[in-house]
Amino acid sequence: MTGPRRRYFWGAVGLLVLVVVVAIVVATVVAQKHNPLGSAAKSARTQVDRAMVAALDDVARQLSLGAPIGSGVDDTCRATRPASLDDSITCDRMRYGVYALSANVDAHSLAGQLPPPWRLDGSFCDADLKLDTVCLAGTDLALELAVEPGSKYAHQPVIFSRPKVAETHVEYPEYYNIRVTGPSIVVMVSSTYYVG
Amino acid sequence: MFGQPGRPSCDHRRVSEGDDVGSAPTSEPPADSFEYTKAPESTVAKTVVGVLITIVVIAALVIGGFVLSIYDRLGGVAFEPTDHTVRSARMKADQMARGDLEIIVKELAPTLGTPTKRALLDVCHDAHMAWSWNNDITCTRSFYLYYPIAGDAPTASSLTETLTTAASQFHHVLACSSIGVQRDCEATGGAIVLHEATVATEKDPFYEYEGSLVEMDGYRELVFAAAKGHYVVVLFTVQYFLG
Repeated sequence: MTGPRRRYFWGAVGLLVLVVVVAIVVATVVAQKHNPLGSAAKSARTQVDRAMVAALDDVARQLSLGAPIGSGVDDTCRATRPASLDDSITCDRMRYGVYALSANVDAHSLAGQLPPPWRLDGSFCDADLKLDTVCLAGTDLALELAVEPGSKYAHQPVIFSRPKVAETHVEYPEYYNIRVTGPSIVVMVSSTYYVG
Repeated sequence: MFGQPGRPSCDHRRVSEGDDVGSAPTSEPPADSFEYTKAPESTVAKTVVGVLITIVVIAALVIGGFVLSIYDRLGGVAFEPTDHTVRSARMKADQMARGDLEIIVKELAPTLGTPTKRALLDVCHDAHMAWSWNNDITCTRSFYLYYPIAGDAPTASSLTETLTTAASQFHHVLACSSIGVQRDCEATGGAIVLHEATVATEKDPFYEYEGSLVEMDGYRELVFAAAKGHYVVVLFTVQYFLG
């Protein structure tokens, strides 16, 4: 191979390698973006969880609910538009605490005790048919209070039987360990923390 | 470091400038011509070999077909609700079904007005029983139209008649129109179900799905409203994937 030909050859090889490297980098970045366990989603998750823990503690303190008898996290990611070829995902996180109720109180009276930024959300919240439920909106988080009448038998809180779209469970709920035998209140903070 | 390999000796005479290259060859062809001495196979042997080859080919085809049929009976390629194939089918079905849904809304408008709530539920589940080894899944997309009833509810027969009229105008044949596998078409396809209630209930009157939820939009809100009673809900379901 003569000099100029050799230069063209190695130039073409170099260009090809460059294109392949760029393609791999782009594919990796895009895959990371759509991955529930990718760095972007992880970072958003860490950030929102910090806010959730603080909000849950604050609400429990404001309502004098005492120590929780159960708590947990449910974190799921789903396809943002399943009826399309778009691979973007939406992740929802829910952090909750279950507290025993000694007095006969309803969710609305409890909600009325909460100071701003919590305000009653006029729109429909994920209410249960059988429960006394009230939904509030905060600055970035949503709050739901659900009072369960309870029974003399141990049972899982009804609120967790809601149908839910979940493509990937990032963190499983721990409500399997909750045994509620009397009236209780489930305090849930939730957020759609990632769309990407 | 490495020497040139030795050249093989040439069997032609050296040619140099001035030689008469086009002259007659200096070497002579061998005196004995090439002769094939082996006797031809007998007709019987040829026939036996031919039959054996045919048997082997047929056996290979039968075994291959058997293996393929077992693979097919087990469901073939395992699909997931979020696969590219399933998503493509869902996208296509959604476009088709929404067009037909508007026909239903238009036909029901004189009787029920406009729906105050709409909901969507997309569910995929195993196409066969849980104990089956078949990995086929089936996906359905359900559209709910919620009409609150203030006064007297229209009769079910008149609504059914209206819905039949609407279905006759559908742009697409829903049954199997976007299903990857064409078998079992008779048992699948679109469906319109009419729900009516005049009393409140604590139960979700539409909670009859199983499997995994793929998409849910406005469903719980509709169920919450329907629990108060006095409504007509038209449920339009399209099965868009089986495979």
